[in-house]
Amino acid sequence: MSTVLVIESEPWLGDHYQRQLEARGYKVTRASHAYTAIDSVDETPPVAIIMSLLLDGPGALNLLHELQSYTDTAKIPIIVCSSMADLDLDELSPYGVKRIINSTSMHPGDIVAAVRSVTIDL
Amino acid sequence: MSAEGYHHIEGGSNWLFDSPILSAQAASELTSPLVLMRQLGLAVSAENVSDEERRLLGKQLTLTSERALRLAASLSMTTANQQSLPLEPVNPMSICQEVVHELMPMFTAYGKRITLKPRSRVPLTVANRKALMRILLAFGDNALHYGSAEHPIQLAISGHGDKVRIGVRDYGPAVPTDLWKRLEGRVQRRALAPLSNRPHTSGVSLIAVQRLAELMDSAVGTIRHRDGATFYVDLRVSGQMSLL
Repeated sequence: MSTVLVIESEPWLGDHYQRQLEARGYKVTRASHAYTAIDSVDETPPVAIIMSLLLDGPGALNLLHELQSYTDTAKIPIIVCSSMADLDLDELSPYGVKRIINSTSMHPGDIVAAVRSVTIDL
Repeated sequence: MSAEGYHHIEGGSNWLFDSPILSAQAASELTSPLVLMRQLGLAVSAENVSDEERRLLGKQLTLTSERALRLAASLSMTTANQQSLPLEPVNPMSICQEVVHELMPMFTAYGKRITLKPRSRVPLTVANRKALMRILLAFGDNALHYGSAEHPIQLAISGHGDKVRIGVRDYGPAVPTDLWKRLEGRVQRRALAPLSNRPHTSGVSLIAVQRLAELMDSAVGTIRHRDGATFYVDLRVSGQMSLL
């Protein structure tokens, strides 16, 4: 079963993503900030990461840098879910970000579709 | 030696409410609960949801909307064109009890706790009851994600000379010592990024509580701890009792 790591500091939003992924047969691991995210990646390498950019403590960019620092974690495709309207995929792709989902307009199924699209070549 | 830092804020945020700058920041911060409410709403109306899940999602929707409404109410009260608020003798313990009572369902739903430190013989303070409620509710809402069942968020009342301090202690990431000054700077620069390290702490609500405190001729501030922070409001002790 493919594992997806959801990094979301708002637990109810994380629950929502988890329900959608589990309903489509994915195993989901959760983290609410950068430290637990790194531990989770080490314990159970995910096929994809879904993450918010608003994280407690060390921010999301620090986490993205950390993931890009290792050859194995740098290969994990990242999907960013954010309400920030001015995010540019070209600017985030050097950090391993493959998709940006606008959380203000996303629909059920968008998360799963994004995971499928970034893991199709794995 | 204590690692605790201390910062006290007084006066001078009027300019924020004379311009539309704050409204952009407020819109940005209200987006987060609205995004969550929309997703919860979509989840409620999904076909494969059990009755039990639907009840849970409905409760989460209600609590999230109440939280957003509290932020909106603080802003609304702050942006009203007034130079001061009517003050009266207020029992801080009863206000704190009301705050804990109002926030308890949300904390419980998130698996967290909020408590009030017991204290006998608390002096009456001079305050505006509604504004004081708004300040403490904002501190409590901001602290939600920075406590746990083991480390509950705690409201505490303490005496400081002719002042009474009501503090809300959390266990979140460190706050900068010049917190409010930084917030004002960010709003002025139209930098809509959330509070560094604490994305669930509403910068707008902190600016609003600062203004509400000013309107009551009182002050708000923060204390840094090794493992969190206390956000507090200092109020004058009422002289009413001494006249008896």
